[in-house]
Amino acid sequence: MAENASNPVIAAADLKKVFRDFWRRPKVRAVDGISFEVSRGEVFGLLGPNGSGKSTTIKMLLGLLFPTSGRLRVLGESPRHVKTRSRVGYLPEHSYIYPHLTSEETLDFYGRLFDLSRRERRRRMEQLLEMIGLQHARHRMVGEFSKGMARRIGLAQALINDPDVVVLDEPTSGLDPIGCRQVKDLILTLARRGKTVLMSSHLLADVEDVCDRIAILYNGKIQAMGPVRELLEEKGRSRITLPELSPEAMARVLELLRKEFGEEPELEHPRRDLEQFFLDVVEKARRGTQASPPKKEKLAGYLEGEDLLQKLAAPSTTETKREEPPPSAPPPAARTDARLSHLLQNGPDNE
Amino acid sequence: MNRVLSIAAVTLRTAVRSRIVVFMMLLLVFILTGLPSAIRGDGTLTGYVQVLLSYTLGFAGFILSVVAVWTGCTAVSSEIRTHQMDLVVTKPVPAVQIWFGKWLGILALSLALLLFTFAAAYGGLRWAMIHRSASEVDIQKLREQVLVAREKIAPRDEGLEERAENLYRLRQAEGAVPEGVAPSTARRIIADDLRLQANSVPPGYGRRWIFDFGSSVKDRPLFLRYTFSASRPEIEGLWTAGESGSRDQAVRRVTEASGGVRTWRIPSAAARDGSLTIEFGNIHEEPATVIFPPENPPVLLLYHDSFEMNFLRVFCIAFIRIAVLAAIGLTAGTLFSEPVALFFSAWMVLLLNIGRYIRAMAATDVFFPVHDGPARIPGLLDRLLHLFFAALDGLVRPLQSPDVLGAMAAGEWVSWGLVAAEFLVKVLIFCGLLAALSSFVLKRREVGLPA
Repeated sequence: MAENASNPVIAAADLKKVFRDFWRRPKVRAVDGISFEVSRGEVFGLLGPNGSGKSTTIKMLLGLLFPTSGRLRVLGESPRHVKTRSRVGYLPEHSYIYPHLTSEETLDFYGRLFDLSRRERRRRMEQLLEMIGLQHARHRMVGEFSKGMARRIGLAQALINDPDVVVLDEPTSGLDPIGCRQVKDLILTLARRGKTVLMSSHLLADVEDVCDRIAILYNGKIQAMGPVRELLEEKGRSRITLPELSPEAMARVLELLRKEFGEEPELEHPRRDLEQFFLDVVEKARRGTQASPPKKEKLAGYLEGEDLLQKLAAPSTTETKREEPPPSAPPPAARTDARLSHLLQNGPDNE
Repeated sequence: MNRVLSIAAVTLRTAVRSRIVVFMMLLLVFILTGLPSAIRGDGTLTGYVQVLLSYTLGFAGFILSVVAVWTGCTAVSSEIRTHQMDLVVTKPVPAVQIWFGKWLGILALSLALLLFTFAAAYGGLRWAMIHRSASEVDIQKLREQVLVAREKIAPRDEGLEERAENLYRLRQAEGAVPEGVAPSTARRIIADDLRLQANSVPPGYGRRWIFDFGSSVKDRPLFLRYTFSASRPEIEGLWTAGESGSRDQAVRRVTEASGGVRTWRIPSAAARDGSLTIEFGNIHEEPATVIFPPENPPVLLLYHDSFEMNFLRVFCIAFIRIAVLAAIGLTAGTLFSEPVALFFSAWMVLLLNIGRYIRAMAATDVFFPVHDGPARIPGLLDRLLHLFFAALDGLVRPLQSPDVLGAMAAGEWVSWGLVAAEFLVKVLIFCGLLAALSSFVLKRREVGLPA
């Protein structure tokens, strides 16, 4: 299948992987006939408990393992094709980086494997080190790094070739909440640039924050797959978020809802998520201890792309996928908002 | 090429930073300084230099060979086990480039260590020449017989093989060859017998050898090197070299003990027209036959080149040997898991070091004789063993290097032709085949399998 804009970037059909023992007897059926497709610019999440087949699927996508049967195409070619590999970036679950190389040497080495020129390697290295906040450790051996630092340098090597497909195995594992947020922002930015991201994670909140679609694996099979919003939506229930209301206004709203739906609505104050609260606290503390404002971690320039520089001039570090405007028809939540507004203006009796 | 060099650089850098190099250098210094002192030579400066050049460099070379094999094994298999290879094979790097990159990295490391070893040995040699006390005779012997590159000339072929073949046909026609004896066995027995006859010198008889060397002897003395055995501890003999009756003919009457290697210094004037005739006469009073071993006949040594050039050529051959071992280790590491690769490579090193025993076994027809005597008939097991050792010999022989360190220590010339042949067969052909095999396997190996 030749690469085409309308074709899926990743296409797996009835993919199976059976691990065999020394005598070629089947030992474990790690992946059992899964099929999925990932389109350009999509963030696709693979979820599942340990041993469900996530890592095996990812390794087959990278050509590190070969499918026992089924069809697998990445960018229209076999994942083992050298041409395909030049357009793929991979962050493994553990940072399998050479411990005796410094950060600079590590990025330079992987850059050379992509045949980048010395000048381009230097440019990307500088930008990536700034992006992952390891400029100060550029001459330190990777073997001396903490787990979080090793993850960061692993992420940087995955992006050195400005890949079209980024495969991230547990990308936020070992990172502090700030690092997690940066990685999530990076994933979203990459997706906006038309990059395809396939990630696996145990941290469901992370997946929920960034993925367009997910597949939940169990026992080597896909148990559920679809857009995150659709999978998580409780069809029979609605939630309205309002500004602070006076007791009288609140009573009127509740009364209206009671009459409309015939049951007592639940009333609670919305909570911020813990990640956002943590980031706010850290930011406040940082402002209190530093005379000058902290330098904001920025995305590597070459990853932003020339045409998107304007759009990404001031990327929000707190944006999430949910804040993006819907591409076509308004989502069910927007329709509910319109209906509520109508109700508040006219009252249930006037409808 | 950029990718190959970057993989090579990382392999080398990893080895250097993991302190292998420092450890190896310390070990080599220990060997180079400790071994010549520990091994008792004959007490002369020549003996000391020969120990330094053969045993010390040989042992250091063995250590470097082990390092090359071990580094080769772990360079791929260990990276597959620790999944560092995952990040390399997922990049657009063909398998053959990975193999060559690793190999070049190991070669760069080995080259540095080998340079260090040879430089230290040469330094030790020069130091010994200045600081060790030695007689004038000893110094002259060292200069003429060790610190020199002398071409080794074997005696002219006397057509023994042809005579053996003719005799075999005659015996066969006469029906004298026992039934069931393999023709090769019968031929070998006849040829051995003829050779022994030709090299036996009964009392009152003589033996003549003609040496053809073609080139000029460069006004430097020639050396005849020989060994013999006899039924008496000492033998009296008369050696002559050159045209009989000529005033340039060299004559030497000796009383020498049986066994041991002897050298006769022959003035260059004795040699004319590119050939030299040498004769030995058994003049011992009591009856005692002198036997010159057919497998180790007398040889003539002619000056050819400087010691330094010989040293350089031996260095090249030592490096080629290490390159082959690194390639074997690397291929084993690509084909097998780390422990299996190490085990396999250790076996290969062992086989290469016992090559001459394998050759001897391959030349054996009967391993389990039913009865003794020259006409032993091989059974099925003998044939199977013969086939096994012949196959093993066929595998190992092309990879074996001649004993160039021993040759250098004996002042023998190691030619550039030998260096080129070693390079062609071992590096270009053998390592090329290993590279092709490794890349074929690496391309088809699932490197992401759980450890």
